[in-house]
Amino acid sequence: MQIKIAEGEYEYTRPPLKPWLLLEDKRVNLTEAITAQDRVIVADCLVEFLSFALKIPKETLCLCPWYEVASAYTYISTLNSPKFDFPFLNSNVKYKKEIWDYKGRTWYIWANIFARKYNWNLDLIAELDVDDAIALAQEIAVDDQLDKEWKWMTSEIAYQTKEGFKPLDRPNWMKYAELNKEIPMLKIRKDLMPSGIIIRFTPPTD
Amino acid sequence: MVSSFGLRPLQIEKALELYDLLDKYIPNYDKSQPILDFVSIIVKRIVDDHSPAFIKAITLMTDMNTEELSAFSPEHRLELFIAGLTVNNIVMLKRFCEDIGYGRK
Repeated sequence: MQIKIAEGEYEYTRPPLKPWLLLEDKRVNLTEAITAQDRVIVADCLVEFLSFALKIPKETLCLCPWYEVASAYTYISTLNSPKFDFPFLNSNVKYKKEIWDYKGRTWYIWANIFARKYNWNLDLIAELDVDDAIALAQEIAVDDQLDKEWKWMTSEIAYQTKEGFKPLDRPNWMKYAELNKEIPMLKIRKDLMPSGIIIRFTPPTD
Repeated sequence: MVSSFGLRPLQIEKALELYDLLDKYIPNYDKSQPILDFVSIIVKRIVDDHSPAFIKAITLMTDMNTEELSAFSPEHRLELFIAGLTVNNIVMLKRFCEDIGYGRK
């Protein structure tokens, strides 16, 4: 697909895993700037994002009308979004920076997942299709969780509660929705109950 | 795109600044609504709020300072304001800022 920006037309196709992750890192920077409501950094992050995606110098993009930047960003974001609704990506867990984090670590986290599981080399992992990569990462996470649950079930500690067996907690994206959750019966203190004369409704009789 | 007033579309940082200025005055856009009605709502809201956003927005869009603008008649300033918002497609700017989550919370 052609993107018209900075008086030129640029061909853009969805990148494989490594450049996709590097671009996502730039989107994270943008999200942080938006959260901070800092327009100078927001503008810089938008330009940085497009500069990386389209290989156009930042100085050129800074001079473009804002709607060219906005359109290109929207187009690239839409094209790059995963094609499936992966539960793995909807975990609703707030990311907490670890002490061992560094800029650009995201790619190595993903590379480590596949290299450890499938013994793939970095070149192969870098060229993975994004949807394939996310789907495989989810399967690896499911395998790991089920494996942990099995080990937990066979350990003594899982049976040391009053209720007997206590299952290992699952990440949110692996939990079944509790559709028909029973509302627990609670005793309410008398003095906390509504006071006054109770007039009960009696339906009119014909 | 250059307007009859020589106004040019803003670059991204300036456009975000324009949105910061006008954000709370921009109504939701109805496609059937004439653009002049849309802009007049913005102007009315700015006037009701006794806000300097009107002049600030024109200075931003025209690169003129307040003294230079004071030489213009109120009608001419209003024309500049409308032309600026049209050149900068204020409706699209609002939608984009909302889409990326930028602006008032």
